[in-house]
Parts: sequence; structure tokens; C-alpha cells
Amino acid sequence: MGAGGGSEVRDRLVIRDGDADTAVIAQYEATRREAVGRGLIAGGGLLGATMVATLLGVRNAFAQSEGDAELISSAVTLENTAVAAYAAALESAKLDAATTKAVKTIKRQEQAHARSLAAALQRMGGTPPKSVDRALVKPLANAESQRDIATFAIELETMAVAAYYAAHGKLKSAKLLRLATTIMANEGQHLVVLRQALKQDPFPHAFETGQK
Amino acid sequence: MALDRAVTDRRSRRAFLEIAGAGLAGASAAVLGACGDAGGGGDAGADPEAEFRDVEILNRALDLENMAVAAYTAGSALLSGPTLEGARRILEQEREHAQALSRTIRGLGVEPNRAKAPSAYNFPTPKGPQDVVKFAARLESSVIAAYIEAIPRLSDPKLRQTSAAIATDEAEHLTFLLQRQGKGPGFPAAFVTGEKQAR
Repeated sequence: MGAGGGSEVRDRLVIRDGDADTAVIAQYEATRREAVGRGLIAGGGLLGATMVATLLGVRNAFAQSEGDAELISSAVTLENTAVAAYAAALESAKLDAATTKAVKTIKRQEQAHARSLAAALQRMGGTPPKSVDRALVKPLANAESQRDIATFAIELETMAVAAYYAAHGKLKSAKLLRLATTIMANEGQHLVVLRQALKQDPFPHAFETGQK
Repeated sequence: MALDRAVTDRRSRRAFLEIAGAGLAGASAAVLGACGDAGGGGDAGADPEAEFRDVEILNRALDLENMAVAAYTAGSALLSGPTLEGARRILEQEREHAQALSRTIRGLGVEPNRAKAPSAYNFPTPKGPQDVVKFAARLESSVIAAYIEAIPRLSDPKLRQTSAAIATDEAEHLTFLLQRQGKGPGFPAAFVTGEKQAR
């Protein structure tokens, strides 16, 4: 098992999606320690390596973006990734009724963000990026528990907040700044509900920067 | 106009902010009229005028945070259980916002605005815990709206980031407060503008 020896190694992910290629494994290995530190590996309930690689790839692309058009394009990708992830989470049939309802609302809101950002990009003369490869988030559909899904979703939303926080230091357009703030605030609200699902402090940070 | 009426009047968010003595919207009109689109994103330290505008905005934000501290301090007396626990947590965080803003303003060489006496805010008299929660939700919404209006006018990118981090925290408070009113999961809109979202 390329990602590190199976369940006897407690700080490593078990790859359940057997089609992860070596590049993905290498990327995973490079970021394993960070993934462990960020709590993506929770209590032996594990998600696939591609999931972590996808998440970190989206975050890194956003962090490296410069200029309004590039930033908004990265934001569209991030939001599309979130939509695909929540769709896969809903397919898992591991969520209770209340969480299913909340996740459906969150997914709709991520779709609204993606549409609005894509429209803003088009108004700037840009072309919105293609939808993400749903296969990358497919392991979420096979998650073993609601807890695993919520843990991953918290990580996803935290990275989204971090990306928008970084974007606030780079965006030039006042309209895009306003849009970014209204979306970042909504991602923070998603975090409240997801943290509550894990019985965590719903708003642990006075400054929600997405940093840990 | 009483503060409560100003908060509930959909047409008068600006008036509310001005009445509260914490008018970010007023600051926008009076101080930031010539600020331009997004403030250019330049180095505020290199432009004394931009730095002055940033300080004005931060002082208005500080006024809002001090008002929130006063409101939660007064309102907590009527709360109990999980609502009180949440309100105390929110109060701590509003204090942290105020302290950070004060430090930043002082760091820019200006004395930060001082908190008013609680009685100066003329808060409405709540009849019970639900009145406190409703008022707090309206207050959070108005604060969010004020930050959204202020952020593009700040010239220093780092201050924009800090303001966005505070606005996001306020949005999280709003979710909690909407939940305590029995309004579902507490995130009714994909875009948190702070306007009309506490009603």
C-alpha cells in the first residue's frame, strides 16, 4: 500500500481508492505530515489519498494566484471542488437527517458562489475553469461515517476561509472584495454547523483566518 | 430615534450606525469620499492620507465593537444555559476585536476612540431572553454590513484581511444567534451581506 502501510500505521491514510497514481502518492507523502497535523486523519476513519491531494492542490493553486482574474478563477475551482465534495458526501448515505439537510443547503450555497464568481470572471473577459473531476472526490461517497465526512468538510471549509482571507490581501477591485467577504463569511457559517456536528466549539477563533 | 427602532428600520442602517456613534457608513461618506475604487491596494505606510483614512475606518470599527461589548454585557444578565454560554464566548471575541483594533490604531500613532459609558448607547429594554437574542442578531448583521462596506475602502491589504477575518467571525455569531431563535441551521443566504438577514 503506497501511502504507508495500512491501518497499523495510525498517522497515515489508508488508500481505499485503488486507482491513485504514483504522482498522487508522492504528493500525498510530501504533505502527509501536514495532513496529520491538520487532523485529516481522524481516529482511524480514513479518506483516500486523492482526497487530501485534491484539497491541498486547490489550496496551493489559490495561494499562488496573483491578479484579480487569476484569483477569481482559483476561487471558482475551489467552489466547484466543494460542490463535488458535498455531492459525494450526500451519496455516502452516512449522514443523519439533520446533517443531510444542512449539507444540501451548504452544497446549494457553494453552487451559488461558483456561479457568481464565474459570472464575475466572465465580466472581466475571463473564461471560467472547467468543472473539477468528480472522481477526485469520489472516495467521500465511500466514507465510513458521518464523523469522517464532517472532519473532511471542516478541513475543506477551513481551507476555503484561508483562501479568501489571502485573497483579501491581493484583490484590487472593490466589487470583488465585497463579493469575497460575503462568501468568506458564509464559509465561516458552514464551519459553525460542521463543528457542531462534531460537538466542537462552534466559533473558536475571534479572527477566522483559516489558519490553524 | 431609539437605537432599537433604528436597527429594525430596513432603510436606516446608515442612520443606525451614525446614531450609535459608530458610523462606518458615515465614515464612508464623510471621510472616504475621495478614496477611490478599492484604495489601490498600495502600501498605506507610504501614503499619509491613506493611513489617515485607514485610522478613521478602524476607529469607527472600534466604536462598533465597543458597542457590541456593551450590548452583550448588558444582555447576558437575562440569558441562561447554552445561550448564555454562547453569548459569553461572543463577548470575549468582541473584546478581542476591540483590543486588536485599539492596538492597530495605536501602532499607527493615533489614540483609539474610547468606549462610551453603557448608558450612552440607549439600548432598548428587553422583556426576555428572546429580545436579547433578536437584538444581538440585528446588531451582528449591522456590524457585518459595516465591515463589508469598509473593507474595499481600507488601503492597507493586511487591514482588509483582518477586517474580513472579523466579519467572518461576526457571521458565525449570527448563525449561532439565528439558531437560538429557532431559525433552522442559521445560514439562510449564500452571500452574507448583513442586510435583512437577521429578520
